Amino acid sequence: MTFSPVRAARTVRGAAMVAHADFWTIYTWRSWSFAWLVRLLCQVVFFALVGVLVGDPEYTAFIIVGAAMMVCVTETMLTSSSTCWERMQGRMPLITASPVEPVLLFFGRSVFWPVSAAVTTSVALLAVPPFFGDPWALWKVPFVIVLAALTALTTYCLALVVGALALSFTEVRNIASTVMTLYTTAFSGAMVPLDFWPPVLRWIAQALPVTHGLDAVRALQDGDLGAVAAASGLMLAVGAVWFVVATLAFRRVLARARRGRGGLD
Amino acid sequence: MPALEITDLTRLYRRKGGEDFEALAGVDLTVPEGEVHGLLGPNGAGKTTLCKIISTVLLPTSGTVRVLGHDVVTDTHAVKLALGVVFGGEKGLYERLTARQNLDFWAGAYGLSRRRRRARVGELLERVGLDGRADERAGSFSRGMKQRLHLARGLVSDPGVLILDEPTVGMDPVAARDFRALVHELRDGGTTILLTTHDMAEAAALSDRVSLIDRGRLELTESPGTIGDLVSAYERVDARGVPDHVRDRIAALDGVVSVREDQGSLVRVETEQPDATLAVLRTLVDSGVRDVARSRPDLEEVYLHLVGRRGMGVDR
Repeated sequence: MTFSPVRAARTVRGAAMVAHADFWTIYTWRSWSFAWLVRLLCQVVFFALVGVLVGDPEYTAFIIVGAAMMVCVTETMLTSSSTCWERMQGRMPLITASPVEPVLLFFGRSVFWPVSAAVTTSVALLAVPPFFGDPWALWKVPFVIVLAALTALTTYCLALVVGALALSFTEVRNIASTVMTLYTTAFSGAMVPLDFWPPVLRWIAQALPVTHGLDAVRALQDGDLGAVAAASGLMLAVGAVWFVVATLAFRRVLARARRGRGGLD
Repeated sequence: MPALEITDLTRLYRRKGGEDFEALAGVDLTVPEGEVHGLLGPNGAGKTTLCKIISTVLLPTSGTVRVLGHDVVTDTHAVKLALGVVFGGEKGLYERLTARQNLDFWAGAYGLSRRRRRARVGELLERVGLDGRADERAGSFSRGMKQRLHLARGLVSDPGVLILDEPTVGMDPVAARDFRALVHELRDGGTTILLTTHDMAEAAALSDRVSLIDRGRLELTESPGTIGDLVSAYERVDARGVPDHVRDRIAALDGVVSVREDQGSLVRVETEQPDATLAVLRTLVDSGVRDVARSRPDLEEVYLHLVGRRGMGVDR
């Protein structure tokens, strides 16, 4: 099968329509704004207060960025569940029988999570720091929004891999996303500086898009646009690798099911 | 070129404990273009496994399947484009999307351009009688409406071959009748259809030819008329309070296959000639037995008769 961008766009567009319908069934604009967003902001504020308790303003600024970026990971990892909805609602045989590239369908199908994550993360990054004496300069605001969106997009590529694995083992879909979120929280440099961890864990952390997203946001805090660009480039590269892995993972899951192993009915 | 060409098809499943289960065993079937072919068999006979292999959802263990000349193993993409699939049951639709959005989604997945999608979706909604409800969520539809939407979804790519796997399961009689009328229309339009069902009447009403499948083996392929003749030759009579000497007289009648006692006082007589049924009824009535009912055997019993008659030795 030759790749056609137009056809790929049609698949993603159609699946995004499903995502849109699902999202507005889960949330109304009120419940998203006054429940979900507020809950995530409280989470960031909680960690900021830990920083205040420690009594180190530098660590407070560090942990606010870390906690805000973890909002992005937490929300995006919900992809694991929404990927499994396809199997739980009996659509996998139809997807397998169709000429669609599965990763494109699943990319569109859960795209509401990274879109929502980009917004919640932007709000968290922009709204919380001023309350702790560290507001953003106005010229940096568009950069913050772009970095939040890129982090959401690249983390989404990783989340698709987790979703592909969960598709074969739907009973662990929530455990898989939770473990991934906890691992990222601990070892990406969000809450604890990367230097604290042994070299192996530091190397593994380079495979997490949010590690580079954090570097980019912190470089932006320092006003170092060169470092922002470098970290963003690395983040996009890592995200692209995860997208390729997700492509292969979805194909493998469907191929296994076709052989009669790990049925998707 | 046949629309479907299945040669020596086998599918094994590995059960827990390492033992193999043969879901399909050496199936051979050729369906010419434009034919509606009924695949008739009880639950677990292998119908759905066969449909899944044809529709590229499962790989065969051995043998070949060609759809309009394309091999399901080596030319999968071409098969997917040539085929429409409608699996039975309520699952499979995006219930939060409207009927129109559901079709639009699948039309996009099959690569239709925006203009073609719009035209095709509108045409299909009208064809299945959902144009008046096109912008309502699929989740609010009745079972019959959902199945009509499933059929429209299966037709979205204008496939040369359509697989209908138990499409009327769970439908009420009116919905099932409407659905069959739609299949008739498709047949008249020249679409090749493989229809699986365990309903003999449905298979006979819709199909040009019918194959009987049981335990993964294709037992025979005949026209519905021939199968209907075979089936109508078998009847049964149930009666209560039949004295022993009357039972012996009935057992001795020509055309009586068996006389056995079921559920205590119920005596079941099976015949293989219409004249024999008449003779059994007359004997019972003349003997003063009034609690008598005549009925057709169900599908499993027909299998026993047909397969037994052909000496294929199915044990049940």
